[in-house]
Amino acid sequence: MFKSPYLKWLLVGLLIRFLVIPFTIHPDLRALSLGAYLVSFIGNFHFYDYLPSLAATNNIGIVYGGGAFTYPPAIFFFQGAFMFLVKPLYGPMFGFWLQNNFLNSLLDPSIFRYLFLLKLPYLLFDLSLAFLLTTLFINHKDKLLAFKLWMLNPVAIYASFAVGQFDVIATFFTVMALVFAQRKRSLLAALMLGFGAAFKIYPLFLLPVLAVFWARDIKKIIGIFIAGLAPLALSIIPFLNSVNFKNTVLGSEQSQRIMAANFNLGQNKSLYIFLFFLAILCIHVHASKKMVSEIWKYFLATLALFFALSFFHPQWFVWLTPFLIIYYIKSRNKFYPILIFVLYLCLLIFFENSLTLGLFSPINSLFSSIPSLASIIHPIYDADRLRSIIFSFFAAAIFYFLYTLIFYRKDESPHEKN
Amino acid sequence: MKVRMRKIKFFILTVLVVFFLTGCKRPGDYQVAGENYAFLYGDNTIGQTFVSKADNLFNIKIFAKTGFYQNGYLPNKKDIIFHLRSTPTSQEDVASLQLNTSNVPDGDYLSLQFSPIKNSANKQYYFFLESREATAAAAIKFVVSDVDLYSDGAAYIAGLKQSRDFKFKTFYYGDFAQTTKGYLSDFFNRLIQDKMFFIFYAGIVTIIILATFIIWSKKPHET
Repeated sequence: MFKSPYLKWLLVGLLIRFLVIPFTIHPDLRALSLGAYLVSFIGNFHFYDYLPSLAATNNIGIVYGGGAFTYPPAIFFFQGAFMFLVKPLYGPMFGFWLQNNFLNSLLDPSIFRYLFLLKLPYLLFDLSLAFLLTTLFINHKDKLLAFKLWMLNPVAIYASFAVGQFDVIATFFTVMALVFAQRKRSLLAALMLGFGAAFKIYPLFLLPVLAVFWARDIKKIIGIFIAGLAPLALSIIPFLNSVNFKNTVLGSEQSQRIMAANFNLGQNKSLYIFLFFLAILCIHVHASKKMVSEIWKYFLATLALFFALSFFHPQWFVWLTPFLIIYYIKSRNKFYPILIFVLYLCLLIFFENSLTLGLFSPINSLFSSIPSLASIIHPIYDADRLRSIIFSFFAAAIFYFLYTLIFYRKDESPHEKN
Repeated sequence: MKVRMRKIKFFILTVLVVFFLTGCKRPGDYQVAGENYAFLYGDNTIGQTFVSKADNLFNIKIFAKTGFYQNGYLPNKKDIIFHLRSTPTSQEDVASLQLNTSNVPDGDYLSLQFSPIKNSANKQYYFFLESREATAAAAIKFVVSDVDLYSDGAAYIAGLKQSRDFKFKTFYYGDFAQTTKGYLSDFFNRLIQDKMFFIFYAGIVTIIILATFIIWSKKPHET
């Protein structure tokens, strides 16, 4: 056991994660936990209707507002199931902690325990993803490097264990889909994308890319779309008669992000830029008869396009990181991943305090009152404009990266390892 | 170049000296939720019990609303007396202040500052405000929660205990070094309050550190 070089990096990665898990919080984690609490502690499976049904003076309603449950149902049931399993460990005051407002909740002596238990399920997917990445490489050195890079991946640690968001679950399923796709198991790959989409919608962006690799077989394409859409469809069917579910999940601002970048064509018609480029990408795959072994490039390109064309939450960036790791190992080209990461960091520091230093408010509530960099800069220069300028550079870097990734011929590509 | 370096060093030194000599305030317990109001007038005093978690308690803030921004005038200009006592039944002030309603902010925290109480750590206190000359029709109000949200104390209205809490904050005084030390000890004290979790967490982190150290210290040929 001690001979394995993986163990070294597993321990280092675990240590970093354990040092972050109990001492960081984002308010959204409490909203997510409230939904899971309603499922596991109260047995309320109609949780989407719970908050809007509360009286205007109800404390929980005041703390969370009516539309706090913006995620598809799968995550509430997954977290709820884990919460149910470890219910006694939460203790009797957990419900009180959830009812209290955010700043008051920071003083609760059990806050570190709650944060630890709430983020623990993500570790399962996070560690599995590290091992899953290794299966994409043949060479032992490459396998180890992939494992190492994931264990030290700052974005993964930030998104799952500092912010406490569950994006890593969907990310795990997209990589799983890639593994199956490369083994030509298209239906299983689609099913994995579907499982991911049941948690976060974005794996569905990859479904047309997957389908186009099997474009000559119409039955397979139909199968891919059915398998890809089924898990999400089945998981939301029980909630479709809830108006609150439709408003907060299906009509949420986040789910409309891919449509935000558009050209107005007049007469209330638009050209959606992300979908436009996604279509070009699919046509390119079909026209140039790409091999399935190259599918990772197109998964990477699709997600990178999304980040270049949408205003994204910083924790979403974890979606892209496994594919950047694959790119780095296959090409040994550090430049683009580092450039994109540095520009991402520049964008990150402009986000609200709750996504930066405020994450450390369980250590001391003082962190929650530190003004964000944007609010400090704003009196001198429009912070949104500055952020837009940085975003423009970020998008430009991604577009050039994608150009070199997809359109270079193999013999002149700077990306292929010698 | 040397002169510039000397100037930079002097600047850094000055900043450090100012930091170390200037008193800092460190937040203590607080309760910051509430949608209801309690009015301050006549015998209708408003107060709150709380536990000071550290020494040198010197500042209490309570959230007030005078209606000045909405109405364009203050409801009254009567005096307010602040009392800090050890318990609600005690008659002896640990600290007291007199201020005027015109000093009370609208929709913000009223800051009540007094000499630091040296041995205030882990002691219960009761603070209350009275404005004997104010009338019910012209009273200023303070934000209070619906339910009990602060487990180490309770709100008092007209001297009667309530199962809810005012919106308040407490602060401790100290120099830079004391404040930094205070932050660390606050954090550590909170961490060890949940003993079961602390033992589990410290144990698991220690095991990982030891295992990492053992594995990393092995030479390649040994592994």
